[in-house]
Amino acid sequence: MDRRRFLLTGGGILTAACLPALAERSGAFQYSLLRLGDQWEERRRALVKLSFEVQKRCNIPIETTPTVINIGQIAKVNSPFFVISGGTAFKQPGQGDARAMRLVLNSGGILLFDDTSPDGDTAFYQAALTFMRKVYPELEGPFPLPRDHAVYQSYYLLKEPRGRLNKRDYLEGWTMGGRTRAFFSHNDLLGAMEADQLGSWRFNMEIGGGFRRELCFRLGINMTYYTLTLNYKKDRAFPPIIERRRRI
Amino acid sequence: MNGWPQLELQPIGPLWLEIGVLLTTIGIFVYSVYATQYQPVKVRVISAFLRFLLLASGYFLLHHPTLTRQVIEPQPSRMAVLIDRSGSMGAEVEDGSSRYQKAFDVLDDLRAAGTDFDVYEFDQTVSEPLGAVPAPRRLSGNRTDFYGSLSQFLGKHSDYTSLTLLSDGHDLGRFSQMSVEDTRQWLNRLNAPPINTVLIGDQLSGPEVAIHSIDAPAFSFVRAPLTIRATIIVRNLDGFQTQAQLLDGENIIQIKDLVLDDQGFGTVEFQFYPEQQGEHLYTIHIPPHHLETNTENNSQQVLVDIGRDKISVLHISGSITWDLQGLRAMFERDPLVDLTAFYIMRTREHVQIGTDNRSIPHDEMALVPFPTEEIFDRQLFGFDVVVFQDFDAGNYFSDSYQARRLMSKIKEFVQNHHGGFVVVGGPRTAGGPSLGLTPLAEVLPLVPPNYRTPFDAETHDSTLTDQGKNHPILRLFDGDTMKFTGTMAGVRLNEGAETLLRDQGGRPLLSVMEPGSGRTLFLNTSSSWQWQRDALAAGKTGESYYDFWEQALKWVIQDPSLNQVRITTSKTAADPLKLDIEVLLRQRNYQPAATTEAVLQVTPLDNRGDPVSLTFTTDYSGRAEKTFTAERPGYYRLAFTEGPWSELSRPRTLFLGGSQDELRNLDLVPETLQRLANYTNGSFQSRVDRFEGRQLAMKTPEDKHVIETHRVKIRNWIWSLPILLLIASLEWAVRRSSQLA
Repeated sequence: MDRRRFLLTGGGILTAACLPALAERSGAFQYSLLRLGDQWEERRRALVKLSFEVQKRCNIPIETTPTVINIGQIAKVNSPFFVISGGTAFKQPGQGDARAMRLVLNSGGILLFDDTSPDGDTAFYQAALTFMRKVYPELEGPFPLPRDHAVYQSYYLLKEPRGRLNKRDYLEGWTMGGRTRAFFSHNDLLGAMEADQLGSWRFNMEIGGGFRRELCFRLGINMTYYTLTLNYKKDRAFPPIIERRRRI
Repeated sequence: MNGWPQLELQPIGPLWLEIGVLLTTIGIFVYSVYATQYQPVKVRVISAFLRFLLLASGYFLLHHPTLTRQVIEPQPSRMAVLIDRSGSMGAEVEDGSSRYQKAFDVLDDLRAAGTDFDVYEFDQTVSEPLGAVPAPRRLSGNRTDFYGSLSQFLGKHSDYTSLTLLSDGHDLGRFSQMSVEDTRQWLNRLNAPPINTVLIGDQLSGPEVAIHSIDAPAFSFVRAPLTIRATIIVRNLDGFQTQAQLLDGENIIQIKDLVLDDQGFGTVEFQFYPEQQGEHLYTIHIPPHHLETNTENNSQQVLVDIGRDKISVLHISGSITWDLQGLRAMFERDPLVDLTAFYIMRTREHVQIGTDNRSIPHDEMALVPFPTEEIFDRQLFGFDVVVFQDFDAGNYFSDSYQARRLMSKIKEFVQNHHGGFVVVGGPRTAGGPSLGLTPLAEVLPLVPPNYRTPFDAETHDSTLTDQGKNHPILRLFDGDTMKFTGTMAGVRLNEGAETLLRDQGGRPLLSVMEPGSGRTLFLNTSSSWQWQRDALAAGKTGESYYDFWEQALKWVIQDPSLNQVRITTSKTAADPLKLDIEVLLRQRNYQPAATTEAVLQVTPLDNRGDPVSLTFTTDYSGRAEKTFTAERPGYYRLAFTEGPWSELSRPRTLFLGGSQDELRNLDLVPETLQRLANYTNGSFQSRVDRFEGRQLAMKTPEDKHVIETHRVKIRNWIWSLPILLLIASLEWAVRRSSQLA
C-alpha cells in the first residue's frame, strides 16, 4: 500500500468513525432503523429516500442517512424515531431494553412498526403486540387511529394511510396521554418508498401507481412532523381551516 | 286573674256542607211553622218558638261548641336592646364619634326613662348579654344580617315583651330581599314582639353625589376581562354631568361618562384586563360637586384578588427540531399552560413537488400563512409570555416599517405590560436578520451583533455564575450533565442583565433581565432537549429538562413564589382584625437573607390612623413571622419602606375585618328599620338627638302568662240531652194541651 492510498484509506476510516458521533450532537433529525428480525434491512433505502424528501420539502434539519442501531442502544440515540421493519416474528427485548424503550418513548420518542408481510401472515403483528406489551404492560391496544388524528393532518391532508400493499385502510397506534407513542402500518409503507441508488423503485405498488406512492411519502412526512410537533395541528387555530379544506 | 269563658265553635265541614245544613234546618223550621197554620195563634207562636229552639240547639251542637276559660298571670314587661356592631357602624357621625359609640348614648337615654332592659350586640350573629354596664368594644367589621340575627335571637329568647334595635339600617342578609308577605310570615313564625327601631347616624340633605353600590367579583384572573360596575346616585343637582374614574392604587385606569336617569341614578361599567397577579385595590371616584357637603361617599373601594388561571404562552419556532418537540411536550403536559403556537413548517426554499413530479397544491396541505399582524398586534397583550425558539423573526415581516412597529410592540409588552419574553437562540436566529438591530435589543439580556451572527457548532460545558447559584430558574439544574451544543457567537450582555450560566471561556449561555415591568430570558442554544437525551443515556429519567423550563416559565411570568421577597398573610374568621404575617427575604441573587433586620410598614388606607412599623429579624432561612392587630376594619397596605427590600418587593393591599361590603356604602338605610317597626307594631325613631326613651317604654306591653286552661265540650255535657228532651216535651205538651197531639 503506497502512502497516498494509506492516507486516503486512513482518513476515510477516521471520518466514518467520527461522523456518527458528530451527527449525534448535531441536533438534526435522523431516522433510526432497529436491527430486529431477519428482514430489518430490506427497506433501508426507503428511509434514505424519505429523508431526502423531508429535506427537500420540509423545514426540518435532517440527516439524510438513517442510523442503524441495536435494541440496547436506544437510550443513547439523539433522534429517537425508531423504525422496525419486517414481515416475520422478531426477537423480543429483555426487561432492561423494554424499560429503556419506555423511557425514550415517554420523553418524546416514537416507534414505527412497518409490516411487509402479505395478507394473512400475522407473525410480525403478533411480535409487535408482544413487544409493546413488554414496553407498556398497562396499555391496551393497538387501536385504529381516528381519521382526525394529527398524523393525518400534521403537514399534508390525508384521508387514509397508504402503502405498497393494500391490507388495511387504517393505521393502528398505541396512544397514551394524548400522544401516540407507536404506530403500526399494515401496508408496507417503506416498501413503497424503497428505491435503488439510481432512484428506481424496487417494488411495484399493489394498486395504483405514482400518486399512490406519493401518498406514502406524504404519510411518512406527516409521521415525522407529528413526532416533532405533536398535536400542533389540533391547536384551536387549525381545525376550522383544515375542516374547510377537507370539504373542498 | 281568671278570664271570662270563651265559646269556640268548629265548622261542620266545607262551606257547601255548612250552607246545606243551614238551609235544611231553615227549611224544616219553615215547614213546621207552615204545618201549624190551622192552629190558634197563641199555640202556633209557642210551638214555633220551641221548635226553633230545638232546631237551633241541634244546629249549634253540630259545631262542637266548647267553652274555654283561662287562668292568666300577668308578667312584668321586659325589653331587650340590640345594638348593631357591623362594619358600617364604624362610620363617623358629626361629632367625630362612630355610629356604634352613638348607639351607646341612646342606652343612657333609655336608662333615664326608667326602662329595664338587657343589652345585646349583633352583626351576622347575636352576642351574649353585655352585662349591667355595657361599653363600646372594638368593631371587627362583620356584615349585618337582620334575618339571621333576629331569627337566632327570638328563637333563643321568647320572654321579651319588646325589642329595641339601634342600627344604621344597613343589611347584607336576606331581609332586604324579602317581599312584604315573606316578611310578615317570618315575623309571625317567630312570634315577634313589637320591635322599636332607632336610626343611628347623620342624615344629610342638600346636593349630593354618592356611589350607591359597586358590583365586582372578589376574584379574577390575569389578562382575563374584569368588569366593575358602579351605581351612582345624584340628589338635588339638576343637569349634573360628570365622569367616573377607575383607579388602581393611584393610577387612573379608565374614565367613563356618567349618564343619569330621571330618578338621579346612573351606572358606569369599566372593563379592563389586569396584568399583574395579587390583590388590587380599585377605587371608583366621582369628582365632588362644589355644593356638596359630604364628599366621603364620592369614592368607594373594592379589593379584587387577581390570580392566575392559565399561563398564556405564545410559542413561535423558526424550524422543526427536536428542541421544538421538547419544549412543546413540556407545554402540552403542563395543564396550566394555555398554548398558542406557530411553527414555520416550510419556507420558500422548500419545494412542494411530489415523487410523481406533480406540484403539490396548497389545499392538499395543512398549512396556514404566518399571521404576523394578528399575533403581534391584536392579540399580543393577551399573552403572559412570548417564546421565540430559533426564530428568525425579521424574515416574516412584509417590510422594515412593519418589523419595527411590531417589534416595538413586543418591547412595550415586556416593558409596560408585565410581559415575559424568552429567546432560544439557534442556527436560524443566528442566520436571520439580527435581533440586535431591532427595538427588541433594548429588552434582550443577550444582544446579538448587528451582522449575521456566526453559529458555533461546538459543544461546551456550562458553569454556574454567582448569580446563577441561587437563582430559582436553576434551582433544580444539574450543571454537571448539561452541555450546550451550538451557540450564537458574538452576543454581548445587555446593560442590567445577569448571566446565570457561562461556558469555560466566559461567554454567556443563559442570561436574564428585568426591563421595565417585565422579564426576559435568553438561552444561547437550541440544544436544551439534549439534556434529556444525555440524562436518559446516563440512566436517569430526564425530568431535570422539564424542571428547568418549568422554573424558567414561572420566573418569566413573575410567579410570586419565585420572588426574592415574599409576604404571606393569613387571618381567621373568629378574629378578622388579626393578621398573621410571614416574610421570606432573599438577597438580590436569591441567597436567603439570614438574621437580617427589616421593617414592614402597615398603613391604613382610610387616613384615619398612623402607619405601624413592624420590625423583625429573619432566621437562617430568611423567614420571620409577626402578628398585627388592626384598630378598625378597613384596607391596609403592607410595604417595605427601606433597604433593598422595598425595591425587591411590591406593596400588598389587603382588607382586615369581616366584610368589605359593609364599608362600601355608608349611607343610612331607614327603610329597613321602618319595615321592621311597622310589621311588629313597634315605633321607628330617626333622630337620635330627639330620642324619646319614654316613648319606647310606653310601647313595651305587659306580658301575660297563661297558667291554666279549662275546656268544656257542650255536646259531651251531661245536661245537654235532658235539656233537648225537655224542650221537645214542652212542645209536645203545648200541642197536647190544644188537643192537637
